[in-house]
Amino acid sequence: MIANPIIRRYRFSQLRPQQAWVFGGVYVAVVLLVLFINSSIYRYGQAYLTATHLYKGLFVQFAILEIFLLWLLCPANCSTVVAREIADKSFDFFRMLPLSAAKKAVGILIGRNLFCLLVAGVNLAFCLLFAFGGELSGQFIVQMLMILAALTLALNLLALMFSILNYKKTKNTSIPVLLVIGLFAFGPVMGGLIDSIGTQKLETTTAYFYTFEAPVLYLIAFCALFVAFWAYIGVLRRFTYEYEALFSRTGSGLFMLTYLVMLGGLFYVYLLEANDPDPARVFWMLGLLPAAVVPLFAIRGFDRYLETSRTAHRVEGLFGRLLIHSNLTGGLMLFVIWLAFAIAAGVTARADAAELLWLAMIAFSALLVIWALVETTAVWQPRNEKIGYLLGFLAVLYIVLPFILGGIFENEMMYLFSPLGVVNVFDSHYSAPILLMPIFFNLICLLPLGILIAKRYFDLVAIRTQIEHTQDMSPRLGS
Amino acid sequence: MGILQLNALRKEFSSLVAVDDVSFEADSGQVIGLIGPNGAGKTTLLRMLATLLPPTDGTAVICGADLRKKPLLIRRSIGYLPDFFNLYPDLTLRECLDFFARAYHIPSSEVAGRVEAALKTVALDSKKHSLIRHLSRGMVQRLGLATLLVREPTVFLLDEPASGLDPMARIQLRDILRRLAREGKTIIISSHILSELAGFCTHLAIMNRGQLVMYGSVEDIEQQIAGQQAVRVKVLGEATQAEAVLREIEGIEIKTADDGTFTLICPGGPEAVAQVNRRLVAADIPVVELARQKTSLEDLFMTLSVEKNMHIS
Repeated sequence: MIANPIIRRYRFSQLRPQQAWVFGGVYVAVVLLVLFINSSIYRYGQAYLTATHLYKGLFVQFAILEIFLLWLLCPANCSTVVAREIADKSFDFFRMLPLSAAKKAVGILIGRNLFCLLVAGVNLAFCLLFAFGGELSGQFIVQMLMILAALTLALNLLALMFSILNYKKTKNTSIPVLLVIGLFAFGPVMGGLIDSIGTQKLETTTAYFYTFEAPVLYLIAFCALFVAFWAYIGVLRRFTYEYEALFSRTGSGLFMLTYLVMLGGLFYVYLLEANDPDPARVFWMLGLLPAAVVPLFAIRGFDRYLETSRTAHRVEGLFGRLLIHSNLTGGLMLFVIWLAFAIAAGVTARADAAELLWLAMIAFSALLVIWALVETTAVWQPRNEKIGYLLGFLAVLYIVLPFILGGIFENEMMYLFSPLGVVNVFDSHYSAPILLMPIFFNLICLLPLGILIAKRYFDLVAIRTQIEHTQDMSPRLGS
Repeated sequence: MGILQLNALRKEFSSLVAVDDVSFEADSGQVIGLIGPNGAGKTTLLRMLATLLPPTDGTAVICGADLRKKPLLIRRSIGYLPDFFNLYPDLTLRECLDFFARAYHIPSSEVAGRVEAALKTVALDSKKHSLIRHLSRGMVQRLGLATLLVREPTVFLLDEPASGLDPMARIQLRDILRRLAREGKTIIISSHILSELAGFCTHLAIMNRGQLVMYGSVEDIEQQIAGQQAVRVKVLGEATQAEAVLREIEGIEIKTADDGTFTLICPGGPEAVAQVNRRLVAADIPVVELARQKTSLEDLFMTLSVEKNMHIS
């Protein structure tokens, strides 16, 4: 690991004696303060009745510190790496390093947090020491370690991934914000930890993944590892294909598939309880999320359309070919995957088929509008770089305005016209004509967008036709 | 096959064509001066070759690797120095070069020696333990060059490497580049200081508005200049009569005419100049001054910028 040049590079700066002594001194001071305060409470106060209670209390506090180091400070460091390189004007050198994407990713994750990880390692030793002293169960300790590791990976990889997506030229870290978040979260997290240690509920609480029963903390760790895996794939892709979207067509489909498989695993047992329609509904709605969000990270730019038109063998059928390669089709693919799982979930839960049908139709029409806004941005951006702002504003309006109008006119039916309001299909008792209205509204919204998109496709067809015509003419001119 | 082959390389940004179908080849040991006004596309071209910008169209092969298909392989063979850059301010010079050496797979046993040698070459060995943030602009520029020297790639792409350097450092830079060329390295160097480039480049590539206006060896370009030399003629008396005589001479182009002083373009060398003299004397026009003007690289650049693409093999 030390052979990784990026880790080595950060080792020089992070472990420079002047810096290490200062931050190390701060940590030592915090540790001594915590020990002093708690031992004083034990000796003179009444909060700790026995030494076991004292150790449990110390465990909680050092666990909070561990969480702060690994879940707040480390991700904050990861989130500013690329921005810092750009601001320092050294990013070109970083990009040109002949290191694999994996080496770059690991180098940043570990190297940038080297000092933090060393302190966290020492702190973890304190946690384990006080955990044993507080006679906490081995099962609880193992589960906590799992959660700690899994969420650390997930949060740091997500932070790194978003830092690569967003090349803002700023050096400012979000440490002050994190401190505020930490202060507010301190109480609830501490309370939760104390409670779980006291009642020993958490480590014995189980949940199901399909038919497999496991402690809930393991399942949370598994979900975190799922997020970490895809964030890692995203990081590798951005480091390798710098100018491509985060998701490829295949990647977005695979993500949707694995996401729904995982979601299905968490909901399976509840779907089997056929007397309650809510699990199926929640599954449907959570399953729809990627269909709306993933296309935003899988946008194919106009360059790809130009390439498609150039590489097509003939002009005939080019319009259709452009449509197949478009962002619209990408979104449609995700929806089809969702629909298959939604039907399976509905059958398993013996849910109301009509409810699913209306949900699917309204959601599909709403998603079409969103995908069409994305597609319009992609194909018109070369002509007008700022068009994304206008269409983004229209998207926000499209989502929010029905709620505003519904509030003003005190008519909940208007919520159906927003993509977020599609949940009103459930238990709504709306008649079919009412439920058809948002679909027609969305189709009307699609009309101008469709015209704009088609215009650009036809522009490409015209250019290609002209090129072919010129090539056909050349031999005749020469002869 | 040359070390570097560009074939109709093109880069478009929305409606702007920054690099317009640029093609040329370069062999090992060649130093190519890339010159052109601001906005000519020099930096864009270099960044494409450095694999930092994907081309819109066209191809390039560098050290046998295709630019589009094997950028990682190309990165191992090239060294790119941007026009505006900085290096890691929290590292010392030695640590920075150590990082680059190891990142470019220099064997551990050789790293320390190469770092020392590179620092010595750019005259920064006395500052090896200083933090980069404490260096001046010129020192950072030299350190940037050192990051390339420590690993000595096959191809050097240098974008305004002399900017920020004092005259002594510029001379040192020239010596370094000459040594690298003797060792068989291929160097593409862009600069606004044409006289500097003419001193040690083997080839020149002149760009304007994204197009390669002219490319060739320095000798060939100089011959081209000689063939298009300018002649200054000053006459007494009736300027219009003199102008009429000059216009009758075949092949002569009157570039400027100002109250009896003419600047002529005379293709054909000394014979053409003698012809001008004979015709003016025969027409009884007193010639006060007749001198050949040595066309500098700047003049050539200004002239060629407005002409069509010209290629000299």
